[in-house]
Amino acid sequence: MRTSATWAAAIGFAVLACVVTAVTPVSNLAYSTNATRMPFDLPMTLGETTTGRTFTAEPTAVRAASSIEAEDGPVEGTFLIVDLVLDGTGVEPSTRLGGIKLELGERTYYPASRIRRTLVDESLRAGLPVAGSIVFELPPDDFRGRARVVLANRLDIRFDDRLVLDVDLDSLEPRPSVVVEPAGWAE
Amino acid sequence: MSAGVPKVRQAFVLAGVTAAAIGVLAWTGWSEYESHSSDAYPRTVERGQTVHDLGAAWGPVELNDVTGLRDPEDPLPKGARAIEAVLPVDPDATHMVCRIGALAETPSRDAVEHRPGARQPRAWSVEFGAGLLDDVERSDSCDGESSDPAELRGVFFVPRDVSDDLVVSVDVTTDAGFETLRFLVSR
Amino acid sequence: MRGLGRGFWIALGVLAAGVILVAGLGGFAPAHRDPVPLASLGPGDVHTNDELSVRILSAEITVDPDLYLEEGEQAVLVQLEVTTHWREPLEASGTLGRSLEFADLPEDGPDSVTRTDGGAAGFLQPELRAPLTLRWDVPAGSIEPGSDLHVTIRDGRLRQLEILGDDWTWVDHRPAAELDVPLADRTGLAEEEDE
Repeated sequence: MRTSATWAAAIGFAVLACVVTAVTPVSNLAYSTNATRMPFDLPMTLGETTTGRTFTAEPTAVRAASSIEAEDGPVEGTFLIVDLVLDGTGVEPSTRLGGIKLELGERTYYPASRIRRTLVDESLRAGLPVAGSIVFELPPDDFRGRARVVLANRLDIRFDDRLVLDVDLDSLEPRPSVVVEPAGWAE
Repeated sequence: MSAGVPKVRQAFVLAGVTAAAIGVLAWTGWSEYESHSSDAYPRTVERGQTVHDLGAAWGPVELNDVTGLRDPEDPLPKGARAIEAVLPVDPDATHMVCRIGALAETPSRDAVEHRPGARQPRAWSVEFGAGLLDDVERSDSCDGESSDPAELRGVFFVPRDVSDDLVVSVDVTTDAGFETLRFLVSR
Repeated sequence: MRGLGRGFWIALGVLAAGVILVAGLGGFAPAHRDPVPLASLGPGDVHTNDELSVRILSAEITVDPDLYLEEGEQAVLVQLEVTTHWREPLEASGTLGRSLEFADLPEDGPDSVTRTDGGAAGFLQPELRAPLTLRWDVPAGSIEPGSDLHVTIRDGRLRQLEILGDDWTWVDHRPAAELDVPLADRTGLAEEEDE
């Protein structure tokens, strides 16, 4: 081949590669974070227990509140409450859920630290299930659409399970004076 | 093409370099394996036995049911037990650091033979603040400062259906490195 | 053309094309922005940038016993509201430490950042307004009650690596606005002086 044709072909392929990379969704790229982190998403269903590698979870209810009753008075805000029973599987001697989050569209929310004694960071011991809630606070105007609650050992999960629950915020009506029971042994 | 160097000599050099590369890679791989070989064959101590290893005399380990010593205001779930593992240790010298790692079920025969539906063995870690009301000083670790005989004590919360055949694992760090000792024990 | 060879000219052409491309994408623009005069605000005004909106409400210097101050110390409290516009939660005290600068107060940030309505500040969550209180414990007499606390607000820039991952960070916080907040006197010393 003539030298100039070789050059043209080489440059052409390089440009083509850039175009293909640019239009490929990030999650499909071999070297993207999603491909290298590869979490295994296990869907949860209300009333059923889903078993992950290190913990199991049974969502028992999904509620919404415009204020939550706390020890020293009502806490005002727009809240999504997921009531759960959690248990360790015993695969690892100590487990806790360090990676709890809510995904709403492009946004991510962590549990509201204003609400105390929830399941956040609760120790999970195999065979000794705990019951409680996780609570997210959302901007009042954005309490709509489909959200996804994610439970995992860590926020940055690699090649491990995430238990996920889809929530339709449109179907929930925030109520006042909602009680969130402190986390404790399930009975 | 390098003129002047006979092809035979080139071949010898190439063979030598290749052999050296294979040798180095093989040695690196083998020494990597060797340093982890104890992971596959942890040091296990039979029921009721004492052993001298890793710079100390250990055992025999005993299990006590200490559920009755807990604060009745803060009960465990129905059927759950608080089990204390007591392990005497007599270090030969200082600089041996140890800690009780976990209490675990030993795999059932079905699990070892990979029968479907076999229950996987579960493990529990030492409780911080087990809530025992007696005056006994409990320490689950030795800090290597003294070579006096001591008793490692760890309390675990286990469910009613915990297996009778258990193993207490102890993580030991000496100047030579890190090892795990496993003490078989029955309830 | 003669003597240099075709390869030379092709290489030069590719290089020129590259330079034109980079220039077109702004790669040769000066690395530092020209200094912009700071916007001048007052207490209660909202300042908004890409990362967050912040509104300084009030400030006071106090010896309130509920604060458990050490002997000879006073507390400077600043009340503000902050809302992050980013799509991920941001750690509150680190974010405020990068975005707010308080003259005459220790540079490494407040001693504590808490929610004004009680509890830890935790994370700033997307589009959720958080009322926060910043607190510095300072030696008595080092800050004049009733004087103005000069606050500089800095705007950060998002740096993202979308292709190699979804890592992001807010960097390069530069002064964009300033305000003076009078330090309300809750030290009670004025009463003592009259005795």
